[in-house]
Amino acid sequence: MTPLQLIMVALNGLSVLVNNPAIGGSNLKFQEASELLSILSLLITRGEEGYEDLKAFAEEIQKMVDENRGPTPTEWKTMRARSDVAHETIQKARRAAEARQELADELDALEAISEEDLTEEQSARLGELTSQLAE
Amino acid sequence: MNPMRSLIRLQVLLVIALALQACGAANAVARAETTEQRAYAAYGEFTIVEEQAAKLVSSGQLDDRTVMAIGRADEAAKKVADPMIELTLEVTAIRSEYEEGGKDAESRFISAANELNGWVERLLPLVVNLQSATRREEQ
Repeated sequence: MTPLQLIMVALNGLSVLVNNPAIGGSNLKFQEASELLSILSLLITRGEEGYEDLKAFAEEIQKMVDENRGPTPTEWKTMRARSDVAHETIQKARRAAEARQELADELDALEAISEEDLTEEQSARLGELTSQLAE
Repeated sequence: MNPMRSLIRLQVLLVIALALQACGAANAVARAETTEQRAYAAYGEFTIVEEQAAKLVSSGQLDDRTVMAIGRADEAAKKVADPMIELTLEVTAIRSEYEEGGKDAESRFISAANELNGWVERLLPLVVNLQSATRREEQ
Protein backbone atom coordinates (compact mmCIF):
# COMPACT_ATOMS: atom_id res chain seq x y z
CA MET A 1 0.00 0.00 0.00
CA THR A 2 1.37 3.42 -0.98
CA PRO A 3 1.41 6.32 1.53
CA LEU A 4 -1.41 7.98 -0.44
CA GLN A 5 -3.56 4.86 -0.23
CA LEU A 6 -2.86 4.72 3.49
CA ILE A 7 -4.01 8.33 3.89
CA MET A 8 -7.12 7.53 1.88
CA VAL A 9 -7.97 4.57 4.13
CA ALA A 10 -7.38 6.73 7.20
CA LEU A 11 -9.67 9.45 5.84
CA ASN A 12 -12.38 6.94 5.03
CA GLY A 13 -12.06 5.53 8.55
CA LEU A 14 -12.35 8.99 10.08
CA SER A 15 -15.36 9.69 7.91
CA VAL A 16 -17.15 6.61 9.28
CA LEU A 17 -16.06 7.47 12.80
CA VAL A 18 -17.40 11.04 12.81
CA ASN A 19 -20.61 9.90 11.17
CA ASN A 20 -21.38 7.48 14.00
CA PRO A 21 -24.28 8.78 16.17
CA ALA A 22 -22.91 6.86 19.17
CA ILE A 23 -20.01 9.33 19.35
CA GLY A 24 -22.11 12.38 18.51
CA GLY A 25 -21.80 12.08 14.75
CA SER A 26 -25.37 13.16 14.15
CA ASN A 27 -24.76 16.79 15.08
CA LEU A 28 -24.33 19.23 12.19
CA LYS A 29 -20.62 20.00 12.66
CA PHE A 30 -19.70 16.33 12.63
CA GLN A 31 -21.88 15.79 9.58
CA GLU A 32 -20.09 18.62 7.74
CA ALA A 33 -16.71 17.24 8.78
CA SER A 34 -17.71 13.82 7.54
CA GLU A 35 -18.67 15.18 4.10
CA LEU A 36 -15.42 17.12 3.88
CA LEU A 37 -13.40 14.05 4.78
CA SER A 38 -15.21 11.97 2.15
CA ILE A 39 -14.47 14.58 -0.52
CA LEU A 40 -10.83 14.81 0.59
CA SER A 41 -10.37 11.05 0.36
CA LEU A 42 -11.99 11.07 -3.10
CA LEU A 43 -9.65 13.84 -4.26
CA ILE A 44 -6.60 12.04 -2.92
CA THR A 45 -7.59 8.87 -4.80
CA ARG A 46 -8.09 10.85 -8.00
CA GLY A 47 -4.93 12.84 -7.31
CA GLU A 48 -2.90 9.66 -7.03
CA GLU A 49 -4.29 8.36 -10.33
CA GLY A 50 -3.59 11.72 -11.95
CA TYR A 51 -0.06 11.80 -10.56
CA GLU A 52 0.76 8.36 -11.96
CA ASP A 53 -0.66 9.37 -15.37
CA LEU A 54 1.33 12.62 -15.40
CA LYS A 55 4.50 10.82 -14.35
CA ALA A 56 4.10 8.22 -17.12
CA PHE A 57 3.41 10.97 -19.65
CA ALA A 58 6.49 12.96 -18.55
CA GLU A 59 8.53 9.79 -19.16
CA GLU A 60 6.97 9.49 -22.62
CA ILE A 61 8.08 13.06 -23.40
CA GLN A 62 11.57 12.29 -22.06
CA LYS A 63 11.75 9.30 -24.43
CA MET A 64 10.68 11.56 -27.31
CA VAL A 65 13.48 13.99 -26.37
CA ASP A 66 16.04 11.14 -26.15
CA GLU A 67 14.97 9.89 -29.58
CA ASN A 68 15.29 13.45 -30.89
CA ARG A 69 11.87 13.43 -32.57
CA GLY A 70 8.57 15.31 -32.46
CA PRO A 71 5.06 13.93 -31.86
CA THR A 72 3.72 11.85 -34.76
CA PRO A 73 0.27 12.45 -36.34
CA THR A 74 -0.87 9.12 -34.80
CA GLU A 75 0.19 10.25 -31.31
CA TRP A 76 -1.71 13.50 -31.82
CA LYS A 77 -4.78 11.59 -33.07
CA THR A 78 -4.79 9.31 -30.00
CA MET A 79 -4.35 12.21 -27.57
CA ARG A 80 -7.06 14.24 -29.31
CA ALA A 81 -9.48 11.28 -29.13
CA ARG A 82 -8.82 10.90 -25.37
CA SER A 83 -9.42 14.61 -24.84
CA ASP A 84 -12.64 14.55 -26.89
CA VAL A 85 -14.07 11.68 -24.80
CA ALA A 86 -13.25 13.44 -21.49
CA HIS A 87 -14.56 16.76 -22.85
CA GLU A 88 -17.89 15.23 -23.86
CA THR A 89 -18.31 13.59 -20.42
CA ILE A 90 -17.62 16.89 -18.62
CA GLN A 91 -19.89 18.93 -20.88
CA LYS A 92 -22.72 16.39 -20.55
CA ALA A 93 -22.46 16.59 -16.74
CA ARG A 94 -22.32 20.39 -16.98
CA ARG A 95 -25.51 20.55 -19.09
CA ALA A 96 -27.31 18.29 -16.59
CA ALA A 97 -26.09 20.43 -13.66
CA GLU A 98 -27.18 23.64 -15.42
CA ALA A 99 -30.64 22.18 -16.09
CA ARG A 100 -31.00 21.22 -12.41
CA GLN A 101 -29.76 24.64 -11.34
CA GLU A 102 -32.34 26.37 -13.57
CA LEU A 103 -35.14 24.34 -11.97
CA ALA A 104 -33.79 25.12 -8.49
CA ASP A 105 -33.68 28.86 -9.30
CA GLU A 106 -37.24 28.75 -10.62
CA LEU A 107 -38.33 26.91 -7.47
CA ASP A 108 -36.62 29.52 -5.27
CA ALA A 109 -38.42 32.31 -7.12
CA LEU A 110 -41.83 30.63 -6.72
CA GLU A 111 -41.19 29.85 -3.05
CA ALA A 112 -40.44 33.53 -2.46
CA ILE A 113 -44.06 34.36 -3.41
CA SER A 114 -46.48 34.13 -0.49
CA GLU A 115 -49.04 31.32 -0.77
CA GLU A 116 -52.07 33.63 -1.12
CA ASP A 117 -50.43 35.53 -3.99
CA LEU A 118 -49.63 32.39 -6.02
CA THR A 119 -51.72 31.93 -9.17
CA GLU A 120 -53.18 28.51 -9.92
CA GLU A 121 -50.61 28.03 -12.65
CA GLN A 122 -47.72 29.00 -10.35
CA SER A 123 -48.99 26.70 -7.65
CA ALA A 124 -49.14 23.77 -10.09
CA ARG A 125 -45.63 24.56 -11.32
CA LEU A 126 -44.38 24.71 -7.72
CA GLY A 127 -45.67 21.19 -7.07
CA GLU A 128 -44.20 19.97 -10.35
CA LEU A 129 -40.77 21.46 -9.59
CA THR A 130 -40.74 20.14 -6.02
CA SER A 131 -41.37 16.58 -7.19
CA GLN A 132 -38.90 16.88 -10.12
CA LEU A 133 -36.09 18.06 -7.83
CA ALA A 134 -36.90 15.43 -5.23
CA GLU A 135 -36.27 12.65 -7.79
CA MET B 1 -8.88 25.10 18.80
CA ASN B 2 -11.44 22.41 17.99
CA PRO B 3 -9.43 19.14 17.48
CA MET B 4 -11.59 18.14 14.50
CA ARG B 5 -10.94 21.48 12.80
CA SER B 6 -7.17 21.12 13.43
CA LEU B 7 -7.24 17.66 11.92
CA ILE B 8 -9.06 18.85 8.82
CA ARG B 9 -6.62 21.77 8.40
CA LEU B 10 -3.69 19.39 8.71
CA GLN B 11 -5.18 17.13 6.05
CA VAL B 12 -5.82 20.05 3.68
CA LEU B 13 -2.16 21.11 4.09
CA LEU B 14 -1.07 17.54 3.42
CA VAL B 15 -3.12 17.39 0.22
CA ILE B 16 -1.62 20.70 -0.96
CA ALA B 17 1.91 19.44 -0.18
CA LEU B 18 1.28 16.25 -2.14
CA ALA B 19 -0.10 18.24 -5.07
CA LEU B 20 3.01 20.48 -5.10
CA GLN B 21 5.28 17.43 -4.97
CA ALA B 22 3.38 15.90 -7.89
CA CYS B 23 3.78 19.11 -9.92
CA GLY B 24 7.56 19.01 -9.58
CA ALA B 25 8.10 15.32 -10.27
CA ALA B 26 5.77 14.84 -13.22
CA ASN B 27 6.16 17.97 -15.34
CA ALA B 28 6.13 16.88 -18.99
CA VAL B 29 6.36 20.45 -20.36
CA ALA B 30 9.61 21.04 -18.45
CA ARG B 31 11.16 17.94 -20.04
CA ALA B 32 10.31 18.95 -23.62
CA GLU B 33 13.05 20.55 -25.69
CA THR B 34 11.57 21.51 -29.08
CA THR B 35 8.49 23.65 -29.72
CA GLU B 36 6.54 20.65 -31.06
CA GLN B 37 7.45 18.49 -28.03
CA ARG B 38 6.40 21.34 -25.73
CA ALA B 39 3.04 21.73 -27.50
CA TYR B 40 2.38 17.98 -27.30
CA ALA B 41 3.43 17.93 -23.62
CA ALA B 42 1.04 20.81 -22.82
CA TYR B 43 -1.82 19.15 -24.73
CA GLY B 44 -1.11 15.82 -23.01
CA GLU B 45 -1.11 17.39 -19.54
CA PHE B 46 -4.38 19.11 -20.40
CA THR B 47 -5.86 15.76 -21.49
CA ILE B 48 -4.78 14.01 -18.27
CA VAL B 49 -6.28 16.76 -16.10
CA GLU B 50 -9.42 16.68 -18.27
CA GLU B 51 -9.69 12.89 -17.77
CA GLN B 52 -9.37 13.33 -14.00
CA ALA B 53 -12.07 16.01 -14.09
CA ALA B 54 -14.33 13.74 -16.18
CA LYS B 55 -14.01 10.94 -13.61
CA LEU B 56 -14.76 13.34 -10.80
CA VAL B 57 -17.89 14.88 -12.39
CA SER B 58 -19.14 11.35 -13.19
CA SER B 59 -18.70 10.24 -9.56
CA GLY B 60 -21.91 12.04 -8.55
CA GLN B 61 -20.16 13.36 -5.43
CA LEU B 62 -19.84 16.99 -6.52
CA ASP B 63 -22.46 19.70 -6.18
CA ASP B 64 -23.90 21.28 -9.33
CA ARG B 65 -21.99 24.56 -8.96
CA THR B 66 -18.63 22.72 -8.86
CA VAL B 67 -19.58 20.64 -11.91
CA MET B 68 -20.53 23.83 -13.79
CA ALA B 69 -17.23 25.52 -12.80
CA ILE B 70 -15.27 22.49 -14.06
CA GLY B 71 -17.33 22.52 -17.28
CA ARG B 72 -16.56 26.20 -17.92
CA ALA B 73 -12.82 25.76 -17.22
CA ASP B 74 -12.70 22.74 -19.52
CA GLU B 75 -14.47 24.55 -22.36
CA ALA B 76 -12.07 27.51 -22.15
CA ALA B 77 -8.98 25.25 -22.23
CA LYS B 78 -10.28 23.01 -25.01
CA LYS B 79 -10.81 26.04 -27.29
CA VAL B 80 -7.10 26.88 -26.99
CA ALA B 81 -5.79 23.30 -26.97
CA ASP B 82 -7.35 21.92 -30.16
CA PRO B 83 -6.07 24.52 -32.67
CA MET B 84 -2.52 23.74 -31.44
CA ILE B 85 -2.63 20.33 -33.15
CA GLU B 86 -2.85 21.67 -36.72
CA LEU B 87 -0.31 24.36 -35.94
CA THR B 88 2.18 21.81 -34.55
CA LEU B 89 1.89 19.66 -37.68
CA GLU B 90 2.48 22.81 -39.73
CA VAL B 91 5.59 23.68 -37.67
CA THR B 92 6.91 20.14 -38.17
CA ALA B 93 6.44 20.43 -41.95
CA ILE B 94 8.19 23.83 -42.11
CA ARG B 95 11.00 22.48 -39.87
CA SER B 96 11.63 19.69 -42.44
CA GLU B 97 11.76 22.26 -45.24
CA TYR B 98 14.12 24.40 -43.17
CA GLU B 99 16.42 21.46 -42.41
CA GLU B 100 16.51 20.62 -46.13
CA GLY B 101 17.55 24.24 -46.86
CA GLY B 102 14.25 25.40 -48.37
CA LYS B 103 13.98 29.01 -49.51
CA ASP B 104 12.55 31.40 -46.85
CA ALA B 105 11.99 28.36 -44.65
CA GLU B 106 13.98 29.81 -41.74
CA SER B 107 11.83 32.92 -41.34
CA ARG B 108 8.61 30.93 -41.82
CA PHE B 109 9.79 28.37 -39.27
CA ILE B 110 10.66 31.05 -36.70
CA SER B 111 7.31 32.74 -37.21
CA ALA B 112 5.28 29.49 -36.96
CA ALA B 113 7.28 28.29 -33.94
CA ASN B 114 6.72 31.63 -32.17
CA GLU B 115 3.00 31.42 -32.87
CA LEU B 116 2.85 27.87 -31.49
CA ASN B 117 4.78 28.93 -28.38
CA GLY B 118 2.21 31.66 -27.88
CA TRP B 119 -0.62 29.09 -27.94
CA VAL B 120 1.25 26.90 -25.43
CA GLU B 121 1.66 29.93 -23.13
CA ARG B 122 -2.09 30.59 -23.40
CA LEU B 123 -3.00 26.96 -22.70
CA LEU B 124 -0.87 26.35 -19.59
CA PRO B 125 -2.73 28.78 -17.23
CA LEU B 126 -6.05 27.40 -18.53
CA VAL B 127 -4.94 23.88 -17.57
CA VAL B 128 -4.06 25.19 -14.09
CA ASN B 129 -7.56 26.76 -13.92
CA LEU B 130 -9.15 23.44 -14.84
CA GLN B 131 -7.01 21.69 -12.21
CA SER B 132 -8.03 24.29 -9.61
CA ALA B 133 -11.73 23.93 -10.47
CA THR B 134 -11.34 20.17 -10.06
CA ARG B 135 -9.56 20.53 -6.71
CA ARG B 136 -11.50 23.49 -5.32
CA GLU B 137 -13.33 21.23 -2.87
CA GLU B 138 -10.07 20.79 -0.96
CA GLN B 139 -10.28 24.32 0.41
